[in-house]
Amino acid sequence: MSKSATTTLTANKRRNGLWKQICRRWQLFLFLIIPLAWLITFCYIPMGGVQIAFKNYMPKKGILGSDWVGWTHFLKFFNSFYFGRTVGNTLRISLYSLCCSFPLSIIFALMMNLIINAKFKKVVQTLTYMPHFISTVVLVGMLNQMLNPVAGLYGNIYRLFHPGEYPVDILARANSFDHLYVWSGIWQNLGWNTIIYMAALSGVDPELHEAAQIDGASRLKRVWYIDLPVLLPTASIMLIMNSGSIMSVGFEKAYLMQNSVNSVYSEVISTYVYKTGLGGTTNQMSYAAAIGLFNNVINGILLITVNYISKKLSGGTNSLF
Amino acid sequence: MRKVLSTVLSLLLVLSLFAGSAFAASDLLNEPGTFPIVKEGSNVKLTIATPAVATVTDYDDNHLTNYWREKMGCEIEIVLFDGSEYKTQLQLDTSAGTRLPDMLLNFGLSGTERESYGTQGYFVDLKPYFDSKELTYWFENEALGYLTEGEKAVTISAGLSSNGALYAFPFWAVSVADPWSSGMIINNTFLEALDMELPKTLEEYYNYLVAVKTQDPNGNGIADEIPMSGYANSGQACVIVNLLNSFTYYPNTWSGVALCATDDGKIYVPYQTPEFKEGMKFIAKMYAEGLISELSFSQDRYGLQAMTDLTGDTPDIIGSITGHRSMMFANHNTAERRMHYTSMGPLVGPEGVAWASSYAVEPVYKQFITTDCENPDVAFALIDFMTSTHATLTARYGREGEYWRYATEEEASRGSSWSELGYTEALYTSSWEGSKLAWGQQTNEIWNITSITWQPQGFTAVTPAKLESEYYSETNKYNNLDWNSAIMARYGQAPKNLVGTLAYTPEEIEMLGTSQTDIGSYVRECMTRMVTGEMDVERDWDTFQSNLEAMGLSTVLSCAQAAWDRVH
Repeated sequence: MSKSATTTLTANKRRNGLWKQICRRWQLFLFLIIPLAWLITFCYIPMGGVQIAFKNYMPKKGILGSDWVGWTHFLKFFNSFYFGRTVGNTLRISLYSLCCSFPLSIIFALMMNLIINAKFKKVVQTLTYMPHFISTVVLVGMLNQMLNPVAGLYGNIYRLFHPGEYPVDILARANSFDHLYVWSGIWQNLGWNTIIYMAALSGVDPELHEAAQIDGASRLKRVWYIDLPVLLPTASIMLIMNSGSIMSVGFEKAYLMQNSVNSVYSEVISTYVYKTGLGGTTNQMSYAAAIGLFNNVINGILLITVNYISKKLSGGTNSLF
Repeated sequence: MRKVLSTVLSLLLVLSLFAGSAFAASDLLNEPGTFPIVKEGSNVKLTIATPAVATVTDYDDNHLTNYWREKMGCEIEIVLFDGSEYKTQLQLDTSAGTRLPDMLLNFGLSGTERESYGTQGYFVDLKPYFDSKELTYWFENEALGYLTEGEKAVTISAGLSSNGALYAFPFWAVSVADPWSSGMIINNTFLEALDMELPKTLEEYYNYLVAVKTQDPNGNGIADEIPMSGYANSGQACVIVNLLNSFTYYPNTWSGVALCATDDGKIYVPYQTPEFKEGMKFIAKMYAEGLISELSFSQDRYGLQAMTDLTGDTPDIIGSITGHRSMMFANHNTAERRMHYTSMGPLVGPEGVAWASSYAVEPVYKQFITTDCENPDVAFALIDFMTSTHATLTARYGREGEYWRYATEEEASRGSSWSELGYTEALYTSSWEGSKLAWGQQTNEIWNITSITWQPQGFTAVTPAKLESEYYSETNKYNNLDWNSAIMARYGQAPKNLVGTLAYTPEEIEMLGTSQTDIGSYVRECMTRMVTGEMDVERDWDTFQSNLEAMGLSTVLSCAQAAWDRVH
């Protein structure tokens, strides 16, 4: 028997083995059908609609029947007044947010891991998770209310020290938008983002810590030499995933926080897509689709690049694919 | 196989042609103006779709639905669409080829959407009905009587699609006050403390604001007074828009391009005029002097409310606000401080300009008859009946006698509360319970939508003038009288030609692209930045203009001019 025939045979055997396993546990695989159907219906089939970015979409003619216009919409966006602004704002806000929230959640997870009192730890965990469940509308409402210099908490505290005066209206300062956006996001999601790191940390072998303790390693040394290296694979995966969404700043919050003072800073790609595609007087679905597609292509490229770098640096272990 | 399929399909198509015109109108309907509208024994059924309104507890066992059933003498079935996602639902139904209900009521489709569905053959073109006048009995005999000549002229024309078809039945739903509710409101206790008269000119207003800032009118010894504030993201409450109207007319719009028309019908935008420039300089100066609160550009209406709706010993802090009285208080009929505030008419600017920021009052086009309807004449007769006075009042308030009634002779002799505006007659009055229903209480009495009622300004104006004894409190009385006098002062203080919705051709829509959206938000942004000092009116004027040009302002103006000229 030749070598290639042997490999085919083993491959066949393996395939048969897998098939047999599936057959034996078919009830479990039945459950997969639902998410699979969901994925196909809502994530793959609609992808066909992306073609309207290259067409002049008319609801009357439908997606397939509309006329092709090539790169027109893309060129129009690249040449438009809002191109530089929306892309710039999106990147700035996104990178700022990533640079702050990414290391913070790791640090926070490490700190939580150091808490010995289990009850206290649980309380802290629950309290920090909670804001995650506040909806964006409510969060922005809270921001508006608390930061109101006349009626809000901020104004009232200020007046304790300066009776009869009103502090600067932070919300009417264009350049404060970034900080408000990012730090309210961190407040909301810091606890939630630590979950995955906490899970990784709980998997650390206690023997490692015991050994280190016997060798006389301090608390900090143990964090540095044991906990951090354990977190690294998870962290790099998270970084790769996050870099895939650098070009997407959440629509709702930016849109809700927008006013005519800060729109220079707060007009991001997603809000602009909404305004031109759905919110405007004349619906420019194709144009909005083109911007969205451009956005996602850049996201895809970033994801692959960071994944590649991570793979090279870690020698092939820390990467998505 | 394919042949069989195509034969069957084409047969179905041919059959469906007959389905639409099964009966002539005379076969099914009684003499116009008599009830029941449908002949007995006709066995007709209408299905009506409407987006569900949360306050309506039951649509089927609903007084209004039963009232229609009784007057029509036919069966009516209600199909509820999702209250907010009804457009998507309609889109799905049409693309899936589902049979549509006979009528769509209160479907807020844009002009473009109406035209899109209409030309695809989903809606019946109602223009022939209005041309032949056979089935427009109530429309002709009652509804049109409440309209001014100008309103009559636009009722049909403003709803026409670019192909000349009318895909929706026009309705009016606007009160006398609505278009004139934008303006300044001033604190009269401050005026009194400062010993000043109610400002009539911008200069006097300016002096008042300076006095509020410097002379401690609330008398608490600290300079905590805020001279003036509005709130963000609203045309009505925008300080800039309201102040600009003392320099050049600026319509009451937040997101739009703010198209205006000269008296001889030339389309222009205010932000290209020297008057606008002068106005912006003045407003920027006011802001720099601390007379306009920066909160005007960041807070929402509740922020404003927190400054005005005060109770107890808390001293008033605000000198003047822009916006609607209802945004100032949780309930403007009972608020403790309502009587501290006086609503003002337009302020005369340095060049004598005194416009009230308004908008073009237009009908709504939200009632459709679908081509799936087997008896479009019957459906049309129902919508026509809805325009009658009795049906309007029943749809707005509930059953006659309990929630509204026709004015008594004594009341009629008092005349209308808007008699100064030329509305002399008094026709009907609603009870307090009826008004509460109309303003959105849980009910199965009505459908709680105004778009199926014929309420042009001339109709909302014909309620009898109130007697002293009819006000339930001093605040309620003050609230009414104060508002009415402000509306009177603003009424009609706008240019002759106001630009409303324009019907663009598909070619024009393509040319316009995103220009209108881009320009709308860019203008708002620049206006705010010019006031806050981030942009300088003189220095950055050319950049402002060239950016507008790059966004396609001249295309917008030429398309709008063309669309305007087609109608006028």
